[in-house]
Amino acid sequence: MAEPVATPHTVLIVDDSPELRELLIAGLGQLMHMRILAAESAIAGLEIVERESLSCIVVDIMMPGPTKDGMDGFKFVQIVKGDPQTEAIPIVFLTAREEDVSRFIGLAVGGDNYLVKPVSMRILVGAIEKAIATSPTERRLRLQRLAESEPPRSPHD
Amino acid sequence: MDQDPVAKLDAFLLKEDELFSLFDRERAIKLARVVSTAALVMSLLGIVVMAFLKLSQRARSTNFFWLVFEVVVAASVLLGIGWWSAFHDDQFGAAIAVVGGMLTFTLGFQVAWEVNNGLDSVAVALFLLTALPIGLSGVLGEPKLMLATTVLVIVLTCVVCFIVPGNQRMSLNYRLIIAVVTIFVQAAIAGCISLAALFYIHTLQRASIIGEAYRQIRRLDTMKEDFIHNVNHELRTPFMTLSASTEMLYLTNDTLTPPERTRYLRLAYDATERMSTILTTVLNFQRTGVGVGTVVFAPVVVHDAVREALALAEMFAPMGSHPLRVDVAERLRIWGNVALLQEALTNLLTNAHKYSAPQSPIEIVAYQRKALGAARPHIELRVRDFGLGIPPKDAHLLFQRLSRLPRDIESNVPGSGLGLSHSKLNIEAMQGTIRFESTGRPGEGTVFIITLPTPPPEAPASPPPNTK
Repeated sequence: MAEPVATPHTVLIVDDSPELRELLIAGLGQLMHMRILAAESAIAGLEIVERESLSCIVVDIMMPGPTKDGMDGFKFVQIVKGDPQTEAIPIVFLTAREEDVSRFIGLAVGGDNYLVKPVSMRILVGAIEKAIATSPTERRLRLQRLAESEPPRSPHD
Repeated sequence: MDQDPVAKLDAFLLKEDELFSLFDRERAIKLARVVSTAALVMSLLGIVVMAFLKLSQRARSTNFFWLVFEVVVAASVLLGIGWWSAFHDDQFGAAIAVVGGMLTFTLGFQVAWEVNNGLDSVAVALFLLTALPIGLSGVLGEPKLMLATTVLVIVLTCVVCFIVPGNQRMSLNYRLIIAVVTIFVQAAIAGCISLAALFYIHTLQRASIIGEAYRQIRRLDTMKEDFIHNVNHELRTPFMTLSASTEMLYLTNDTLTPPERTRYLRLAYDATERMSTILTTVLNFQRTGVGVGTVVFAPVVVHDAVREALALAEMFAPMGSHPLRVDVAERLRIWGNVALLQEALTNLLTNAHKYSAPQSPIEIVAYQRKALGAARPHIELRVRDFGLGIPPKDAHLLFQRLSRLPRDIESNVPGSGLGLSHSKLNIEAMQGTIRFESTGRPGEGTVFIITLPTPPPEAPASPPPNTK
């Protein structure tokens, strides 16, 4: 997506915690001078992905959502990465799940970064900026390296 | 704790049969050693006695004597093999040899006795054939088969002694003695093998009780791990909100407008509130120890528990705005744990406060009931609010751990999703039930109904002093 540099970047936050959404909208807006959008569920997030031209998505993994068959963050990212229109949007996971397996899945489905809550605002800003600056070639190379690495073992194995 | 033995036991239980065979093997070897030694000593004693009788000229050299002597020697050889096998940890070989030796004894004596007394040779063959399954079914551990063959043997013995025409020339007295001795010996063998089988089943049952207890401990352990995992997860999001809003205050303090500053402060404050709710739940969980599997039962005065719960609920949220209607007789007692009941009640009361309008009343009613056919009466405790109610379509979510009603998530009512599931755990730990009734129409509210057993008649009349 070749965008003119002058247009401000738009970042989408997908998280089910209303407090965290409010904080990230205010905080990231202040620290990065970017347009910040937020969605409380993966479904609502996909609607925004379809409508807006996004520079980066920060997504949670465990989202119960208002419907019974709520979609989790991995599924959301798979859908975003599966659509040629949106596959180039960088993804940063921001989640409470600290297990190695989740981290591996997050990066394997195409996440640029995987941050475990709580994380400092400055680190989050850094991760978003780095994700936006990453070129598709670098991303492909990293995925390839990941595919060749040994996947972590689940604690239930 | 060293994890290795636990992992080993886990692997062990996956192959339950292996555990059973181990228990069985140890017992069987011990039993085989005792039985084979006793049998060998007895048969050797038999040889000594017979040799003594012969050498001291007290026994005549009849066919009967030599036949019996041969039987005793043959049985001794077999019992010797059994004894040797038993002491070389081959309990199966020992069982076969010992049973074989015993059968040789029994059948040999029968044959000797019956040939000596001129019974028909067909009858002798019948005994040989019918007695064999007893030994085999005993070794194979099939008590029903053994019982069936024993009955068959007894019937055949009667047929041989009283119906086979060739035997009719024997005097009735002789035939009666033969029949009685045969039936007695066969029944004795069947009895011995049945006892061994019962012992075997008892051992298996004990092993299965141990296995079940272990599995239950593992289940509770998994529940605890899940709980800790969930709490860890639940704490991370508000903690991030707290740390990031204070970070924002710190980083951008100079440029913040007053409303912006207030917003970060409010977010930080809300996050600490949420964390404190979760922590209280966790600490209560620790204190009452549900999940560890040990609940101390005592008579609990329902009236006092309600009063304490109201005081506790007051600490979480001011209940003053709700007119309270409490109708709990002082004589009512349940059989349970005061801390568990108080916590469940506190949770229901804070919920009633949270989900109803400020001036709407909250009712707490308790009464004793006796179900038809129940051994002892139970106490029903109803907590009613006149708030939002529970939509019927969401009823299934109510007692689920970490799940909250879509309405509450949307309208931003704080909650951990732990409270009601925790209350349910508490009540069920006291062998009670908790359910609710609600039309789902706002203003009609919800009734939570807790049912708990009353103290058993043999329980102490008053609660012990330190039940809290």
